[in-house]
Amino acid sequence: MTTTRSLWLLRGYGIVVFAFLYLPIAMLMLLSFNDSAGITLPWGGFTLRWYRALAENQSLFVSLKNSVVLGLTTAVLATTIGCLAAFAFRSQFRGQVACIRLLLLPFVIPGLTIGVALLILFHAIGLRPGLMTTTLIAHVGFALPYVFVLISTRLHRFDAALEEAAMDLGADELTTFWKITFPLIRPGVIGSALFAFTLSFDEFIRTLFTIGNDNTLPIQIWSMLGSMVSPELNAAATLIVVFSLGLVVLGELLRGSDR
Amino acid sequence: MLTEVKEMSTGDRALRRAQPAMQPTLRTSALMLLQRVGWLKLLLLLLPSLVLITIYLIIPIIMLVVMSFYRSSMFGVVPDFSLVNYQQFTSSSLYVGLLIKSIRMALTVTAISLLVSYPFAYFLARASGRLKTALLILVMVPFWTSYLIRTMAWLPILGIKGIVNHSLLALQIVTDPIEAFLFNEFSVILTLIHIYMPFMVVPIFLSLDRLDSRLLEAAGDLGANPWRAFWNVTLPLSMPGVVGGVVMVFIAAFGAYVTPKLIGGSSGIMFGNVLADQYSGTFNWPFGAVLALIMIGVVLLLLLIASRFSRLDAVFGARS
Repeated sequence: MTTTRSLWLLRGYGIVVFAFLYLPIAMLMLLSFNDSAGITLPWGGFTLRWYRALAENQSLFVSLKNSVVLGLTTAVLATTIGCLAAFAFRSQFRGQVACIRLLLLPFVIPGLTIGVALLILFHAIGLRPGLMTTTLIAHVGFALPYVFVLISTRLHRFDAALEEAAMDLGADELTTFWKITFPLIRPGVIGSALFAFTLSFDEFIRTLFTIGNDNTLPIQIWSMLGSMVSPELNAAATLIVVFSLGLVVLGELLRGSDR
Repeated sequence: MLTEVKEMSTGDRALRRAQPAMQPTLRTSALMLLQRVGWLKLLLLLLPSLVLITIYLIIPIIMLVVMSFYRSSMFGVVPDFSLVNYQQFTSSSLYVGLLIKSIRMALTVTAISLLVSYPFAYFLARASGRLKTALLILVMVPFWTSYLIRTMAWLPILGIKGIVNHSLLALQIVTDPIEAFLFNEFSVILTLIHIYMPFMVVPIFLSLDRLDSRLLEAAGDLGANPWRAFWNVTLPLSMPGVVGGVVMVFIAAFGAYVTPKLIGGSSGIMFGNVLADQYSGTFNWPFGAVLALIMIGVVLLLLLIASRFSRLDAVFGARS
């Protein structure tokens, strides 16, 4: 009797916490359809005019394009580099623990300090801030540890006997990689790449200090926040959320498809 | 380079197979070849990430240290070896006070997140099969949407014309809208908890999920009541998750910039805002470098303390 009651208490509690995590974003999305000049209530009826306003916002499109190009490049580079590193850790070697700690170090350094430190570095070596130079370096460095961890856990579960079998049957190392290893880890690799894309797509603080005069979508939203308060902001935010969520779900499906 | 590696490795595979029949001298040279190929391959695999980490993290931190000894003058930054920036920090009750306030706020966020997340993670771990996977994905999802937007979402809720005030007025609980929800320490702490709670939930969930339920049965068989079993078995075994969550949430909250800037007003301002101002408003880069090093220092101190409670490698998923 008591156990069922405490179980229901636990479930109720779980639902409340989920509501806390989700309601603010849900309200933001709802308010993007609000036919009213302010960003909040009262509800003035349903409208799509804030989305139409977005469609006419030229600078928003430029920053969206920048974000997508940067995200794709980051995804390809971070996944390639992270994949290579993950393969290195399949064998034991001296200095392994130190290497792993170094690769995971970015997790514990606040993004703000990294942004500022990169600004100082790029300024010192005379590299002009820009989307595909300084910001790209910041984003690939940011995404690398995540990709590395994701692919490493994947490889950890990988049955090395399959590779040994291929090699015993006469395949050389590269053939084994392309015919056996890669197809088996491919969902994980694609999942990590999508993930790296969303990390880059949503990144703000490291971008702010390294981007110079270019704009990404989050930077654009940030400057809009300073200059205007209208449901157009809610609409822009809603689109970004939907876009990132779509990618995450896709990534989860890909990663989960061969569990 | 790659084909070279390939040829060498096929070569040594052949050698390795033939090994038993070989003379000892040939065998040792084959082993040496094997070792050399191994090192070369390892270096090629690791080099890109090591170079990237060096550019992304190591050199920038060295630059921070160098910059912290420079002097800021009317004509820009002057290379020097001066402690003036450090003195500026220690002699000002404003900056030291803000540092202490930010640590206190980050600790509050961490403590409340822990209290809220532990039972929640327990709830997730108790779910079964597909539901558990689905719920876990639900926890992770907000994690991958921009914190900028999740911070923004609180503006229409907490504002003077916001949803909370709207509801309170409609329900006639208050007669005048309450200003105190937004632009202060409270709103910053609430929003930071909202944004960074998944950092706490996920590691605790993972450690609870790994827990062998037979241990609890054993505790029960030995006469422990559920509370005692929880206190003596579950809680100690979930410590790696707790420590991991505490570390991640504290670092994120202490390093916050967006949330206090957007939601905090003047009374909710944090250390990160003053740090960032040195690079956008007041342009005192050397002093900003000192503030950044202090921020990193606080984080490293926390890691040092945390490593006494749990192995941090395990916390971050690295297995060696």
